[in-house]
Amino acid sequence: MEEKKRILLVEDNDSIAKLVKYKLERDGYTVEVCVNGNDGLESIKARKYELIILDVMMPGISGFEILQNMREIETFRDAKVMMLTSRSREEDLARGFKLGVSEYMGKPFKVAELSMRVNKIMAE
Amino acid sequence: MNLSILEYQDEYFAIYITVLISFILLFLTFYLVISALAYRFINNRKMAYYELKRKECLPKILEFVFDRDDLDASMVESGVRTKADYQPVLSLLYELLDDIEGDESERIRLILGITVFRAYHQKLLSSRNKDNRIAACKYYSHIIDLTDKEYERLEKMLGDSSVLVIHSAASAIMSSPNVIRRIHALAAVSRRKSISRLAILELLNEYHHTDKDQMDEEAEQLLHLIKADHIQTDHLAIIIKGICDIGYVSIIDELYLLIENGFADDRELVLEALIYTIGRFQYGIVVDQILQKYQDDRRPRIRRACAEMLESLVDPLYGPNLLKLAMDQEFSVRIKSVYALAALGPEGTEYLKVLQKESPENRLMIQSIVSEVTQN
Repeated sequence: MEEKKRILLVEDNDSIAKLVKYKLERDGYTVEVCVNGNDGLESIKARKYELIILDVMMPGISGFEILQNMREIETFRDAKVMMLTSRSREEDLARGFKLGVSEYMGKPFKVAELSMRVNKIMAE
Repeated sequence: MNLSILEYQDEYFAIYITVLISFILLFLTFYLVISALAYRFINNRKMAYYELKRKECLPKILEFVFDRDDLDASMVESGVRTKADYQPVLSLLYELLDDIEGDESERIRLILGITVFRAYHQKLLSSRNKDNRIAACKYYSHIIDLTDKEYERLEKMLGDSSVLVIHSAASAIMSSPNVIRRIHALAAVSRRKSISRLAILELLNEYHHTDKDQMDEEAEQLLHLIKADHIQTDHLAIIIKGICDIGYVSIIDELYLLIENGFADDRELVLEALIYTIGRFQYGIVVDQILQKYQDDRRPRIRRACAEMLESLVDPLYGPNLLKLAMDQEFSVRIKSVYALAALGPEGTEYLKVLQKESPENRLMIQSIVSEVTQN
């Protein structure tokens, strides 16, 4: 039996995290959730994930700081990352693409669209 | 002898008072400590129940949101048994609505519309507490299938003493398919002085229903509102300018007639908005008449509106008018006109060269605007 692809979701809003997890698990992925940046960074270092979904605005370590930390480590330099950010923060887009973000989702987002984009990244 | 008895009694009395005060203080301290502990205990229990209820309801909500066949929103109702359950579940639903949109958001709105929540918010509408009334109106703005009765209740809130309640009620009414209902709500808000211009603009955007073929009726009602004399001047100006963004082209003729009939001659802000709106629609036929009447107006705001109108038109035919406005005594009029000339491209450049010769003191300003427009 083929092992399910692993996704890490780092999102401080617990209810949104559960909603995304619910949807992506139905799409056939294994989803782990971290509700703060520190735990997220620890999980990234501890296990291998096919995709990491990061919320930009989080208390403590932000999504960008996690990304920056990841890119400094050789093993995670090419890891696929999707970012969730507020639509009004267009400056995040430029910053994220510089750090090699694969996809962006502006909040509020359509869950179906998020699922579609995740599938696209996973198929690449 | 008598004196010593008195001294003895005084001392006894002092001890008695000291002991009494100590007891009272001790009792008060004890009471405060016990109250604080009890409050903490009750609060912790409340918070724990709040979290528990959210955790209990989330799977049901997700099931309803994603497993669409044969499920009814009332399935969530079974998890909302007492009043203490309302707030945790409502907060959870609002939290989800903040971050998602599309089909899933519609499903969450259906859950919000379950009977218990409707009945609860209906009561809140008549609460003495202003925050409760605002919360109720905001609740209704999320509901998809409001009934006529619910709209009527919201319409009553338009007469509330609090502008925040009025604005929240109006915002909820904007989901109504009935244009007259929507325009009444917009009018009720526009009458109030203390409502911000941004709030009016937001409401105006909600007034327009993009998915329905109601443009003409909406425009006609809006025109009636503009002509009504009870609307605050700055709100009226915002509404007129908002017409551009929505695109009610059919009332531009009427707007021009308002200018011609002197409707806004004594209201600078309104006149400016009318000239600006006509310019944005690129309504060339009346532009000459507006320029003839207002290009040399004594009020700088009106002359600036003329320059702004020509900036929207981007027509080299008006180069001479812009050149004249670019030499205006008012700096803001000059800036607007130079922007408009720069937007004309090579034809505008010729006018700008003339302008630099005529008024060398503006050379730096002209050069910086030209380079900005060229870069854009």
